[in-house]
Amino acid sequence: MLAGSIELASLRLVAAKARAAADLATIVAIGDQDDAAFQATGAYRPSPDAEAVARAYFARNLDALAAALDRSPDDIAAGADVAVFREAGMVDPRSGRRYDHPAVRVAATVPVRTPAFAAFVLPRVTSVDVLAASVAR
Amino acid sequence: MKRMLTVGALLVLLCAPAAAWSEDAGDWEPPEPPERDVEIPVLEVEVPQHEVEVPEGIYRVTEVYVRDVVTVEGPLTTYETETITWSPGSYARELETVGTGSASALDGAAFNGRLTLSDGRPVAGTFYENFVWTDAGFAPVSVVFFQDDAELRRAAAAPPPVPEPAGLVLAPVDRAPTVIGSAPAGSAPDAPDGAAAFAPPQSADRDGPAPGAAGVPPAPAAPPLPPAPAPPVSPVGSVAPAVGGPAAARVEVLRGRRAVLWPRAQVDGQSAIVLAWRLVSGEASAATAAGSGADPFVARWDRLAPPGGTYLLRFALQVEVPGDRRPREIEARVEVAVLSPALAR
Repeated sequence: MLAGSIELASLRLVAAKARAAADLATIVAIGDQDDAAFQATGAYRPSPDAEAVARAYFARNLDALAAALDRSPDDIAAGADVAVFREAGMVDPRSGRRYDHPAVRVAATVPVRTPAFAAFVLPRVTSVDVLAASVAR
Repeated sequence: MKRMLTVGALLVLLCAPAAAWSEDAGDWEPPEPPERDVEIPVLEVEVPQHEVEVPEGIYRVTEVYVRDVVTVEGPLTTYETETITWSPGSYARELETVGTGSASALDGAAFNGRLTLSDGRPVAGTFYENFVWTDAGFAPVSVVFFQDDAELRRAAAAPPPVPEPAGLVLAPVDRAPTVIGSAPAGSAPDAPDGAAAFAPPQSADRDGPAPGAAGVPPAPAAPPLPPAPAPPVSPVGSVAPAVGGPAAARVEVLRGRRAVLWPRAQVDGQSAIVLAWRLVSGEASAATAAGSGADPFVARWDRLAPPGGTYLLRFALQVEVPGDRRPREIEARVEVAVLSPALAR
């Protein structure tokens, strides 16, 4: 019972860190500006490589949790659903959320090892869903 | 529990009906126009009860003259006419648009006069003629000149460029009337209702009494219009985020990111040569304050504007205008929105 409680607390901690990793990745990705769009209109648009930047920083941020993950951070980031909403007012088909500013969103499933749960006939790997989005405003 | 019930009952008893207005209420009166710190002209015009057939070129007045204003901001002096949005029931037509220094047959006809630049040349602007509707048709009552010009202090006379505080000085023009119309009672006994309100005020610098004054026959008709003047050459200043790119009235930049903007000008829709530019006012963490026409304005903003706000930059441009012997000084403005990443959930 004690092992199960510790495993549950550990799972919640890893899940929180995974969500923070996604949050920070979207903030980094939205924090760069498309120069061509600026020169053409003067308006802010996310950088053309915003999706790749978000994916790369998500992987980097997950590195600190690698020991607790069932897949490599690169694999998790590669499989993440990363979307860039370049115009204000676009709707995220995944969440239904409407963004009033250009946005970058990361949605991913992070597999976390939970070996102690096996004693309770629970899965040895628990999937944690993370969803993060950032805007420039 | 008992105490709560007592307090609740007291609250119900003390509640007064809200002072709400319903469209169905018969005693509703239109709200008073907002108070201004300027004297609002009193225009007593009898609004015709029937539909007036308005000839082409005449339109219903929606902007009413208040006063002429000279704005001095650093080296830039702007000549403008202050108006208020109001429909007094009168009509007007545009008579002539004149450029800087151009003489007009209507000079002296406007009750508010035409201002002059520091070198004595008359300012640019537009003459309008006011009408009121009478049983006999449209009766002309006055001519007004809307000032619209600006000048930059000569570079030779100005001190070397130094950063100036973004101060704004508003100086109403002394000789310009602050109220349109409101002629003394009886000054226009034969004029129809409303005409008196529009009658040009009599002033010492006028030759003879004003048209429509007692003993003087009212003006027979609108002054003869001169041939249509050539379109004025009015350069327009703007700022573009790219060389040769379109102008932008607003730009969005990330905080701390370097932005490059190009002051530019157009004359009659064609690009004009910007000889020099100078930042007149505006806030930036680091910025170039002046440059030649080939130099961009480079700036960076490390601080966000207040929530929902933007930074306003004002530039003074020296522009080469075809047909002008000297460069023209004009203004360009751009709003800068400084953005910062933030979580959306």
